[in-house]
Amino acid sequence: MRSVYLDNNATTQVDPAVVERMNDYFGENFGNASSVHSFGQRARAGLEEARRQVASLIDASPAEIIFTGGGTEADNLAIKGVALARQEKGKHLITSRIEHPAVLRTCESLERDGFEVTYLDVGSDGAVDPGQLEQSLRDDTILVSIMFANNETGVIQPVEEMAPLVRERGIYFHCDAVQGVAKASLPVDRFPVDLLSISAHKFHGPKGVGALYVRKGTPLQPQMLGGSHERRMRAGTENVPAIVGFGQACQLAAERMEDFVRRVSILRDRLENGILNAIEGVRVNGAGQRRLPHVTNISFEGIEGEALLVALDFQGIAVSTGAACASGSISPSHVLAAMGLPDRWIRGSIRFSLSRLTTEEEIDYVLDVLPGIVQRMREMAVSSSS
Amino acid sequence: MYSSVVKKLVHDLPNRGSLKTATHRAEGENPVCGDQIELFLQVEEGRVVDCHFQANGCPAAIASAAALTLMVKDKSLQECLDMTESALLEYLEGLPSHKLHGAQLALEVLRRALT
Repeated sequence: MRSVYLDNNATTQVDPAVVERMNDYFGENFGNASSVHSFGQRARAGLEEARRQVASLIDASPAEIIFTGGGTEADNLAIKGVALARQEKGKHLITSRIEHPAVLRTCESLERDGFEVTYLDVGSDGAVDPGQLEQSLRDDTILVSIMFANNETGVIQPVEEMAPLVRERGIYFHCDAVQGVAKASLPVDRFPVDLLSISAHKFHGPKGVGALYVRKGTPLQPQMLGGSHERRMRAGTENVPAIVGFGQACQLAAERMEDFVRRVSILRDRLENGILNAIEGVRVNGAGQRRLPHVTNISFEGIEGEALLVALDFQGIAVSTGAACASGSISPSHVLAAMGLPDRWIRGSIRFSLSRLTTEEEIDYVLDVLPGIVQRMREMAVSSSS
Repeated sequence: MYSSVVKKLVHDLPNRGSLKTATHRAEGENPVCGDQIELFLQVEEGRVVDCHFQANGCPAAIASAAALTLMVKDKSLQECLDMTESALLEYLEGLPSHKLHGAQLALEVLRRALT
């Protein structure tokens, strides 16, 4: 059976060059990067080389990179770190309804601790309105957190427009760029944010490692206490093999980004147009908006997304859905719901996310298999003849 | 999460659609998650000679309904009524614990159709 992986927003296959680089640090360079002896210093050298590679991908200074245990931890550190460091100035934060749970749950936690959070709506296009953000800014607003691109729809948020509005008022701007880094150019000298979250496994690096970019001068209270690692901002012995793998993935991403964007957007459009041409009753969620080049979120009317996912899995095709049934209740995508999509469209939503490894043959295989599955499911539907 | 049997049933959807020759029919719905199952049975001389289904819902509900259409063929009405959740789950090679409501709904609709 063929095997086609189109769930790269969930995670990506680790690049062999990344694995090779990591193996050196499981093996002879196994030292603790805080140790003074040569074993430790070899690990330290790898760690600092990785810091330069991560910084280089976003045109930051290495001193502005804090390694974390992934994107979720980076989001937690950014939001709680600034909120707690700035709470004497105010206790109001702004985010959007379509953020990743790593941001939403962190904001909710702060609300329980006495902070106030404004959750911005999005339009049917899936984008936050900069005008609504500007109207929501208050004298006691200390932080705004808006993602670079949505993980479900790929819709790119107008961060470049919003961040200056925020920062000119002395308010800090955090951007969860976990889905955007390595898929789009995000140089922090021109992409004006104060904090930016990155995760390695979204672009062929290892899981369990990420980074928070913190612009020089941004106040931050550490959330993990202990030793003096990461300039006292994130205690805990560094996961050196994962970090050097992360650095290698950043270097590869920088070298490949232009080719990746060009190639994968052609394949994404081939998939999208192929589905729109072959199947009736479908819609592309976020269509017409500026989107990440490798993602499309498509709703199939009258189909349950989870059932479609399972049928595709039977054919060796891996995708994800925005609506899953658990314990007898449906938990619909909070992102598609925030876009105002009717329930029947949300339930039938499927996300296809490609990678640099995706081929034209794989896309054509999906286009060969998918229409028949959708037709059978519609023939099965209770409403089709009752 | 799902067995290969469940995946194949959800992919192939055997006996899908209504059955014009049906002598028995029933439908049921899980009002919480919206799963819907409709079963059509053609019964002759006390035995099921054909069974079809329609469904909307999660893979567990769909696979359960499709499995029942295969399991009940050539069975007597009493054998169908005696069919247990564990027998259905054995046929499906299991369901995730939070998806058992799909199997329960399918069996409920079968019993409703035959009584």
